[in-house]
Amino acid sequence: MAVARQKATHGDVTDAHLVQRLVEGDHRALDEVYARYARPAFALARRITVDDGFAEDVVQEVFLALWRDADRYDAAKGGFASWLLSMVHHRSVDAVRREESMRRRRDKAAEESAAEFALTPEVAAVDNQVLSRLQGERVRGALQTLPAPQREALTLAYFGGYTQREVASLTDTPLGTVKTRMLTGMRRLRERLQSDAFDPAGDPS
Amino acid sequence: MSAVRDHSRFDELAVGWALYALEPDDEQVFVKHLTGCERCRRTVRETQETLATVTLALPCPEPPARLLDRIYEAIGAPARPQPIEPSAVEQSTVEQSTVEQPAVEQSARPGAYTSRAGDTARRTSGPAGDAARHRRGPATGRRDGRRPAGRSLARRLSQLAVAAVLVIVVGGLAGWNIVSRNNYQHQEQVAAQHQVVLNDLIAQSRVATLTDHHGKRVGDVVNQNGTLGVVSDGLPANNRSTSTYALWSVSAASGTPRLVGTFDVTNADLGVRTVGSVPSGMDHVTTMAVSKEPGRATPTRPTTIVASGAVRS
Repeated sequence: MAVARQKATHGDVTDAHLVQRLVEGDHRALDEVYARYARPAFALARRITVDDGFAEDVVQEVFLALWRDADRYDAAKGGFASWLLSMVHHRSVDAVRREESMRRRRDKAAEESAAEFALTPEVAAVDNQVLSRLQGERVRGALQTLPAPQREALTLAYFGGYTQREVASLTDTPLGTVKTRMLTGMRRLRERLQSDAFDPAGDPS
Repeated sequence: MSAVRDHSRFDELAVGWALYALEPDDEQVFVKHLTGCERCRRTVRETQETLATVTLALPCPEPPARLLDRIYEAIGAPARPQPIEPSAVEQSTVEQSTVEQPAVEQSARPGAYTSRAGDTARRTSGPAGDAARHRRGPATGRRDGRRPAGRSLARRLSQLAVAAVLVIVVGGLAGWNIVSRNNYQHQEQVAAQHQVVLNDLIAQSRVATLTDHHGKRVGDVVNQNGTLGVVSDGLPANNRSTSTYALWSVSAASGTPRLVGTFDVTNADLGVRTVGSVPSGMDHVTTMAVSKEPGRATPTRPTTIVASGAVRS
């Protein structure tokens, strides 16, 4: 049950406290939320949109929304980080879906240069600092335990922004199977993260 | 019993909802159901939190410096507050991954909001921080609301190629192997796409091609922004409890192999393993070598060299 519930404190200021200061219109609180979450927010948006420009737009929109409507955050519904990141996720996926309809009208040449652009090494840039951290190892270990079809269904939906039906079509799997894979995969992931949470070393091997 | 069975349909929809992946008809059904179902609200919440945990644990590159300026411009802030000390940012990345529900429940109560006197936010930056900001200069600090036309081209990738990139990027970063090839009728197509994308990535960042004693290619050493990785393509899997692989750099000047790092190969499939970096840079490195090491301790010299390759100049 404790899985992924983000610890709300960084140093001595809680996320909840920052939200309250945002509601009161304190700019410095925005700066702090940015310092805490801009990196993962931008990384998620970039992963989904595969485009730095779109990713920046998304993060800007989310922080703007946060500034205007910080009181829409309801602590009873979950941690602040997961709320913020789910906003980032929704807007990124919206951007991808919007663009997808435009895409069909584009010519092939554009697609080719797009492919080139998307394949720059930056796409695969590795942040070793984060990778080597405990949590990275823990999550990596948990993801590795998922059967590949479940992992792929979740990856395509979450990072690819595909709907369940699109995932079904991409993987040539019945829709019902895709839904089950997502549920089973998510349960397994969560259970695994949870059981690992009690292993102080967090080292799978 | 059938009630439980019936509800599994909603469990599935709840996960799909949290993933923002439902079709419109399913969404309609689920939204109606959600308002009266505590179980589903919990499933949605738990799924979102699990996804957040995954996101926070993945590598997070620094967003462009202009992004914060853009945000401040968008909210119409009169003046930008002073920047936060970078170390605070680093720290938060570590801490936010800690799992502690009770702490959240506690602080999330409305009562916690009232402790306003405890505004202990550290404003640690001073003139030095400001100077650093200004050094960025106007060129990077501007928002003109338009990005170069070329930017949006990335969106025009074919669907499958995008999927392949994502799977591989995520796979590469998290050390996964490149996906399962046995489960789909489209397996050849999907696998081929993965291969193409991966080959492109390798081609752009390859440092050396590794061959074994028979001259057979078994993988590549790639350099991703200073971090070396091994893309295994035929190295046999090692027993992860009794052995490890090690990557070494050899420079013409010293001739002594220097350890880059150790890694494991879990099976013979293609997969990127991030290994480490060469502190002195790659300028004088002439050869990369891979050794197989007994035990899990960090080796000081290679035991058995199993593959090597010359570094491309």
